[in-house]
Amino acid sequence: MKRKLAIGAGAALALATLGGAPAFAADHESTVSVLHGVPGLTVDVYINGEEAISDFEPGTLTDPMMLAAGSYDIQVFADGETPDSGEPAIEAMGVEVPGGANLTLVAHLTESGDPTLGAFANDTEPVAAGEARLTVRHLAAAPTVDVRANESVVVEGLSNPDGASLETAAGTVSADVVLTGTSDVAIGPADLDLAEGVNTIVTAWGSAEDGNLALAVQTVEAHSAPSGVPSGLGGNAQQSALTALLAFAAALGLATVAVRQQRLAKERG
Amino acid sequence: MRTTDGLSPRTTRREPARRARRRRAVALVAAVAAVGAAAFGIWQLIPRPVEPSASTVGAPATAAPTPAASPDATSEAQAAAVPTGVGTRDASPGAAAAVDAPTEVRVPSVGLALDVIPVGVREDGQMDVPELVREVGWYRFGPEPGATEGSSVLAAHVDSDRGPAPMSEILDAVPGESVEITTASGEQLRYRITSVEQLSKDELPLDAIFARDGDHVLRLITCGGEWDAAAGAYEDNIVVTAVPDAS
Repeated sequence: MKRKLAIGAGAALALATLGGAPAFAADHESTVSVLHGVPGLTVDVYINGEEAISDFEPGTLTDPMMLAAGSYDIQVFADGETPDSGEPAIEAMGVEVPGGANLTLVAHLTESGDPTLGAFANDTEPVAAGEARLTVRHLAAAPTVDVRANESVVVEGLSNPDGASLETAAGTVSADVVLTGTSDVAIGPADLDLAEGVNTIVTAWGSAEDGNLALAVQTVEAHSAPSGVPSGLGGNAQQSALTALLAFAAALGLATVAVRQQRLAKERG
Repeated sequence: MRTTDGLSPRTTRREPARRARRRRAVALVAAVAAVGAAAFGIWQLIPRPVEPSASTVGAPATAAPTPAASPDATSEAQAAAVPTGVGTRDASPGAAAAVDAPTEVRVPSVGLALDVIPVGVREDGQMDVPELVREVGWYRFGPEPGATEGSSVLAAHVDSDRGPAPMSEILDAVPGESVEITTASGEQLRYRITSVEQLSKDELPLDAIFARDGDHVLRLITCGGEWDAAAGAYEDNIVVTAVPDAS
C-alpha cells in the first residue's frame, strides 16, 4: 500500500494562524493530539524521523503530546513501512508548532474523498462553572450537514473542513448528523457526555459513499471554579435570629404594657 | 386617653387606691422584664465572628500546585525532543464514566455525621450549597472522594435562620483528626485533616480549592468570620483540607 497522501493546505495554514497563543498558557510548548480519520489505512507516524505513533488505526486518537514550539517534520507511513524502506504515505515537512496552543492534527478525507491532513486549534478558554463546550468538525467525505442535539438543530450548514462551537449546560445529549435542511440521518444518534468544564470535540469522519461515516470524540479541559461557596444563611452560627427577634418583640411588648400601666397609674393618681 | 365627654369608663372610673398600687407593681415588674428582655434581645443581635478553634492563619495549604519547572533555556533542546510510543485510544463516543458519589461524611472527633447529596452551580455562578442544613453538598462537577487527583469539595451551611447548623461542628476540628466518607457503593474512605483555614471570601483561592488536577484532597467548606448583614453573607469561608489516610 503506497498511497501518497497530499498534505492539505489547511494543515500548514491552520498552524500558521495559531501564532497568537492564549496569554494563560505556557508559551514554549503546545499540546498536540493526533486523530486518525482516514478509513482503511493503518499507519505509523514519524515525527522528525522518530517513530512517535505505531499501528495507528482509523478512528483512534493519541494521548496528548507536549511539543516544544518549533518546526517539525511529520511523516505517515503505511503500517510496516519505515523511512528506510519506503516512501511516506503522507508528509508534512517543516510544520511550525506555536507555543501555548492545544492542537489536534487530523488525517481525514476531503469532501470529495481525497486523504488530507488538517491542524485544528482546540478552544481551552474556560467555560463558566456548570457549563460545557461542544465543538463539532466536519472532516468526512460527505455533503453539508446539520448537527442535532436531542433532535434540535444546534449547528446548521456545516461543510468539510469547517467546525463550529457552542456552550451549553453540562449533561448528556443524544446527537446525530443529518444532511443539511433535512431529517435524513447520516450519522448517529449517539449519546454524547458533555462534561462540565470540558470542551467535547466531535469529529465526523469517513465517507458517505463508502457507508463508513462515524464520529470521533476528543475532550480537552476548559474548566473554571464556581465563584464562591455561600455557606451561611442567617448570620447566626452562634445564636438564633428567631430567638433574638422574639426576645426583642417580647421586650417591646412588655415595654408598651409597662408604659401604658404607668400612664394609667398616673392618670388615676 | 382623656375624653371630653368622659365616656371612656377605663379612664374616668375612679378606682380604689389598693388597685392602683397593684397596677403600679405590675407596671414595675413589666418594666424590669422589658429592660431585661430588651438587653437579651440586643445581646442576641450582636454579631459575633464564627471561627474555627484551630485556625491556621498564615499557613495557606490551599496554594495552587506549582507546575513542574521548565526553564526556557531548555526550549531549544526540547524542540528536537519528540515523544515516542505515544498511546492511542478508540475515539468512538462513549457513555460518561460512572462515578461513585459520596453519600455520608463523618468527623467523629467533633460528632459530625451528615448525609451528602450531589450539587452543582447556582444561577449566580456560586456553588449550590444545599438549603437543608442537615445535608452536605458534594460539588459533582469536580472529582469525587476517592478520586486519583484533584480536589473533592463538600460544603454545607454553618447556620440557618434557626441557629447554628450541624456543619458548625467542623469549626472545632483540628489537624490530625479523621474524616470518613461513605460512598454510594458502600466503600469507606478515610482522610486525615491537614489544615483548618479561615479565608476571606475576597481572597479565596477558588482555582486551588476546586482543582481538577494535582494531589487528591478532600475539602470541607462552610462559612465563618463576621456576618455582613448588608451582603447577607459571612465574610469568610472555613476550609478544612484532608488528605487520603492509608492507615
